[in-house]
Amino acid sequence: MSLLFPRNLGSLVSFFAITASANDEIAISESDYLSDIPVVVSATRLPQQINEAPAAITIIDQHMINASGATEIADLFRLVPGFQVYHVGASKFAVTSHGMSNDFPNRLEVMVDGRSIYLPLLSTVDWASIGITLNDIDHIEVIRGSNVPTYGSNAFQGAINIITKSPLGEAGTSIHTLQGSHDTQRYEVRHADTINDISYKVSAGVNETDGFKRPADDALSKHLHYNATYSPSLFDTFDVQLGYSSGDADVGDGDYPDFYHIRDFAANFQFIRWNHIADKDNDFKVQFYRNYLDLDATYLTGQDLLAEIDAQDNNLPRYNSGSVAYGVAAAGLLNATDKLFAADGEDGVTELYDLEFQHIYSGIADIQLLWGAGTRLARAKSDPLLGTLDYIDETTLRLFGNLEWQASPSLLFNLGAMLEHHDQVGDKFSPRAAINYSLSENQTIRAAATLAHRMPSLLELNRYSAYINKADEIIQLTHSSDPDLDSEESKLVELGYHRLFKDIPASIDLRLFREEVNGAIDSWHIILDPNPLTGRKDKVAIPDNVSQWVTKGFETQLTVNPTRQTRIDISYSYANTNGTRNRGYKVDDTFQLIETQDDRNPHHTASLLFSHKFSPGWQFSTATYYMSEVLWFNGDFIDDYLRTDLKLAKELQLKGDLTLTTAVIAQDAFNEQHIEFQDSNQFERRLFLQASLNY
Amino acid sequence: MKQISPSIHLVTVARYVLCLLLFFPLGSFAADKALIALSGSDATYHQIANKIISYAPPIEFKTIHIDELKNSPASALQPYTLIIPIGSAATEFALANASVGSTIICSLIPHSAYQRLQVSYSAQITLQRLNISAVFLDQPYSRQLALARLIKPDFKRLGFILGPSSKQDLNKLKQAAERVQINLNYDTLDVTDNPVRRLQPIIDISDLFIALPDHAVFNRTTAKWLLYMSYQKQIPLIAFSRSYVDAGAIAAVISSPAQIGLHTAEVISEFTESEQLPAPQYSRYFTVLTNPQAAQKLRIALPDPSTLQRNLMEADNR
Repeated sequence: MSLLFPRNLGSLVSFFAITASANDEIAISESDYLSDIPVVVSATRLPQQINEAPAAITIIDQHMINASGATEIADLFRLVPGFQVYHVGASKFAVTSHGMSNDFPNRLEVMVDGRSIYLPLLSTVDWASIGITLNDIDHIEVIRGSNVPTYGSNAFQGAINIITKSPLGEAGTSIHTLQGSHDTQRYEVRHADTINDISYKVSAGVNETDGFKRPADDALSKHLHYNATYSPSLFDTFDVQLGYSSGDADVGDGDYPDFYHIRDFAANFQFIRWNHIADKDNDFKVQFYRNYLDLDATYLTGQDLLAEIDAQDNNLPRYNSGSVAYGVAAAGLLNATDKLFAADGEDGVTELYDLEFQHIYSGIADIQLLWGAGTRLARAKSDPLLGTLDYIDETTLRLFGNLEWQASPSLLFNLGAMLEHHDQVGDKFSPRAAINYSLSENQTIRAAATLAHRMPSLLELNRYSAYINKADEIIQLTHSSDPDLDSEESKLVELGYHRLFKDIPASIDLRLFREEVNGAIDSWHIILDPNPLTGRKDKVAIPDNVSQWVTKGFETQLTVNPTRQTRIDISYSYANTNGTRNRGYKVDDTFQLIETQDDRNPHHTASLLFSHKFSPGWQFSTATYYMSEVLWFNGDFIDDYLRTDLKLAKELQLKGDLTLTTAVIAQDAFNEQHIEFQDSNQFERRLFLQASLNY
Repeated sequence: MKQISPSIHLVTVARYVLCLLLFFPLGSFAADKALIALSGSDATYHQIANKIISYAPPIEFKTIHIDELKNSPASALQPYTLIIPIGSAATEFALANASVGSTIICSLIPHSAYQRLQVSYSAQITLQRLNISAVFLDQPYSRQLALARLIKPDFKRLGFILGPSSKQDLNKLKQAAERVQINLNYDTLDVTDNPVRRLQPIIDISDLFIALPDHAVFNRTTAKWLLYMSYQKQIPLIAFSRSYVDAGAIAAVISSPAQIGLHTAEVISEFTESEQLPAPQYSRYFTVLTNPQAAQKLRIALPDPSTLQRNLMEADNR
């Protein structure tokens, strides 16, 4: 550059810029002001507001948890449009989305603080053994519709992430008790503090209930939960969670309520997560966890089993037979052996190890990029379910990502995908594309398409149940598996609308969807050649890709705060399912049993939650739930029902920081009574008293 | 950055000044063609530009993005004697490149960023006889303290934490607090510090906490701790952005893009009508945001945002 004639102002700029750059370290700009303070939701793992997410989301917040009068975590999902909740037993819950489910719903991923609690052994979630209670929960994020592109296979029809209260968020000690119907007795204590820079929370509890009147399925559980967080620097946070729970419950087939047997459980988990923010553009997370569950069913002698078989109209207990008529010859063989038989299928040990890495990069204008990888080792051993006392291992790898692109002020794109590798099933790719368009500052419409795959679970791939005598000869084979079992496939298209109202605090969310599921896994039956021991042709159930359906419908949720003391939450879902499943029976090469599935999903589910605060410290709330008729797989026809819960709570400020909250809860307050899952589970009015002391 | 010896600079500057004096006419204050320069492509910048164009006098406005400007010839700003940079990057570009005698009305710039640029480009401002003013993005501390007072009338001890950037603002905050007789509890927090160790003692002895804006990453990381710990100690946290309130702070007073745009348009009108450029100022238009759930958690009976806003306006006018 010529010293005499500067060609442009650049030289001058660079001179002055020297002084300016010296201030870079301290200089902030408007973008620092306006940058997002994260509100994390589970749709993409990216910090996004609900109207930016590529999926429909329901947040069950602290207010809803308190106002609902729910006494079990699972009950809360009755507030989610399109979700169904039912008691399989008094202490055994099932949560599903868009029906199509049995006593082991297997198409929802359920996480506690990002840790999957889905059980490989049972292909479901055992809500009784998760080791946290309602009082531990801060809020719950529910993704309605497939979220496989974010969380993998288990999130085939949705994902639930239960966020527990942080040790930083509550100080001191609280004692909580619930007493009421069915001899329910619950005691919980929790304490949170910060010592040596580590903030921790420890909670423990015991819960006992006598269960339904008939069957007498009483249950007892105890839990201990430790949660700590430590930040050696502003940019590093370590979270550790440890949990232990144990207990027992009477389990069995509701069709034979007199033959329930005790089943013990012991579970523990360890979880650690490191979150590192390298700079303003790079956020890293590494997490590892291990889940362990040991289920011990009651074991019966052949003679005891036969006594029950006789009493059960010559049918075997359901886990093993699906109510198959049992031959006399087989009975004789059972009688002759001194081998013990599990009275219930829920028996065995399962472990899960999961390691995951995740990186969020936001260094490109208008783009947030997330990618990550994980590996999971699932192990299980079970005599009645897998026919082995040795562990069966299953390793899966996953690679996932989501690109959020703000193409214009009103146009947002989300492109996400999950690639999963399973040794036996191979590679499956589950992508999602979504466009969110802001019609105005408060209104967004969303269009999204998702292709999702659900890998068969460890149980589905390795099922093997047989009555075997002492000499290891098969008396009867009831369940087996197919090594060629493939994944389920779902094609989901949806249109969403989200609006925040300005004049009164209110929001509405609408979702219109079409969900096509192909190759869904269900039991297919084959008839074996005569068994040399019994001379019978055993009918064997094998999980296979034999079911398909299309569900169309719409969902809505509305929240209104008409006054500062009043809040109303409404949810409604209409869903219409058409489909078939082939059960495999053939006569002359013609399938005899191709069932329609149209009645497997209730057409209507709805909820209304109303709460009003009276001063001083009084709150009245009511929750009404409606579900139209449905026929659950393995369950009974359930007529439509309405359940109304009432809750009246009073908070008393005692001296200092001491607060006493008492509440009376009436579930099914008007005693309309309904059946849950199977005829033996009659839900009728339940009354509870609740008291919490915080200091 | 390339090092240039000071003597070369002096020669360069002197020659450049000579050139300017000889060849460029003095700028006219009555602009008929104005340039709106956007620092980014976010909706915020466009909203402000649109508001300015709608409410300013009928001048011919051209809107351009900073990246486009940077790729243009150095003379790109020459046709414009009135430049309205929106945001810090555009302001810096305008200060560095504006023609002699130009008027620059900065918008959406944080007060501290404006002050720093003013210092950094003081020679340029003098040499080019730039006429500058601004409508700030942030709020005066007096307004924020008034909001704090409305939310918790009896509070006496204000806690805050100073980050790498906000520590520059300490004196301003001290002066504002002194006027309303509030005690300040504060400490500095570095990225290598344990946040609990730094924040806990401050939160323990404060009855209200205010989050001061800093670098985005600092805001984001401290927010988590501040939100949790303020809940834990049951003290209200006043924040500085909508996003912060959504995340759980009890309230914030902010000026929306539309409000800043409107105020900027008014400053332009005042300037074109009187040829007098008003002094740099905080936006006279603002909105109070509250988080009723946060208030509920803290057992604070929060007046509704419009009442708070009205009261703050009255306090502003006193």
